[in-house]
Amino acid sequence: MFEKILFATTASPTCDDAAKVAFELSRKNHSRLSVFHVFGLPTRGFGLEYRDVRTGDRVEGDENLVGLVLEEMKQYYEKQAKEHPGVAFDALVGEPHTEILRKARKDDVNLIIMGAHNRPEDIGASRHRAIAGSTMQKVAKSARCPVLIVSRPCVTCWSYFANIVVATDFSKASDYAFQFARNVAADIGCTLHLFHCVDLSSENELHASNQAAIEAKVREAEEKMQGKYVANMGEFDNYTITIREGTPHVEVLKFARESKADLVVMAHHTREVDPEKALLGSTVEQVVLRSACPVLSVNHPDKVDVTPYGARPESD
Amino acid sequence: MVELQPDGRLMERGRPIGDDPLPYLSNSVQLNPGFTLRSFFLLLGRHPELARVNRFFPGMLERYGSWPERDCRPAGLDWLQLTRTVEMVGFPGKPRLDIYHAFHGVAAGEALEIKSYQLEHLLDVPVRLGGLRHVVFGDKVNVFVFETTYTLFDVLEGIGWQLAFHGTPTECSLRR
Repeated sequence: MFEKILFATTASPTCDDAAKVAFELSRKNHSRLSVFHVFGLPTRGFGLEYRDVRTGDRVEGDENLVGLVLEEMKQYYEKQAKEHPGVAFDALVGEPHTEILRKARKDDVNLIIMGAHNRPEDIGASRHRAIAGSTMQKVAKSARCPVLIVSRPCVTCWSYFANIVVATDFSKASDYAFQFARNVAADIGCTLHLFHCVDLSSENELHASNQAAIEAKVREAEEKMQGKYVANMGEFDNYTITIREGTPHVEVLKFARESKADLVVMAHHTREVDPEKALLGSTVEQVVLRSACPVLSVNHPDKVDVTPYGARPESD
Repeated sequence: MVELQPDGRLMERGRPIGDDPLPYLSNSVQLNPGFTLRSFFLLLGRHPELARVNRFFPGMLERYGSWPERDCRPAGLDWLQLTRTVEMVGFPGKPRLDIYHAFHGVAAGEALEIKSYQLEHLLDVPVRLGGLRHVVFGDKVNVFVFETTYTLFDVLEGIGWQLAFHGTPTECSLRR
């Protein structure tokens, strides 16, 4: 399904849940897996110093440094790599999100897998760290390929997924998210749940509306679902349609829990928010933060067609 | 000062408050002995206005009706604790000061992340108010712990934030 997968990691326990998914998914799909770690910010000019991304310490770099970090990464993922001999390790100094995006473009990867990068020892800190511009958000916002964010242990293997929820706001990016989710659901053979929430949050003009206006919006959304998505299902018929009203991220999470979702697929760029300003508090970030299952962010039409990358061998 | 009773009553000077709890949001809180997470839901049930503090509360209250009425306490988890953290962050990004509440478990004296527990399995675990952690510049671990007080709003908002994470499906692990 995915020819090339890029697993962007801190090579620490915070990415263990994502590592499990990355190694398992690439092994099952016979994908080329690249494990990538950006470990420091370069200082000005061409100095040999860099600042450690985690601690902020100034560290003197030398030509052996990258080699040492690579060795450490290989040791950390030694067990998983044994079952996946083709895995490639890479590390460098740089701005993490820039380097991850650069590598994804250069290697033409089909999927980026990341953790949400919170430190487990700081319980509760995710409310600041995960909201205020993390690497994950910057990558999810700008990547041209789908980005899978795994912040909780994923207890179901990708190929055994039974329910995929695609949450749409009918934006262009949501259409790509739908196409990707439909293709994956068709490939795996699972149920696709199409979901839309009529936004009744306080910022929205509908807040003051009466019930009739809300119901009109729901009917309008139903028509859009039929025209945009049902009409484009092709031969795939294992799907449901649900429309709710409320606060989008709350309703998406509630629906994902009710429908026992194994994966939530969403567009990062919402219709209402300029993509450049969508860094803080967009629906997808709120969902990523609290979702019990992995969340996949899709923004571009690139790589949404998952079928040409080779059929899965029958033995799997 | 307001007191939260195990049966969810909100008391001031030994007497239950009336129908309007909102003026008490800024009062400091004392959790009386026997206060559990179930007591927290009973409080929200008695005062529906308080459930508006967090968008996930109404959904949880709906589910609460279908949960067992007793013996909802996982082995090994001693109590649940609300703590406040004041953290100076110097890097990466611009230096800043984060202040937040965390609601976590305590098992054998160690803090424990609870979001992987089903919410209905935690209902009869005692709830306590913990101290304030002052963390200076993250990884160069300088952590100080102080006594502190919590307002009614702190309790509602802090516990509500954490409970919004709960919803790990049980079916997944069965399918594996």
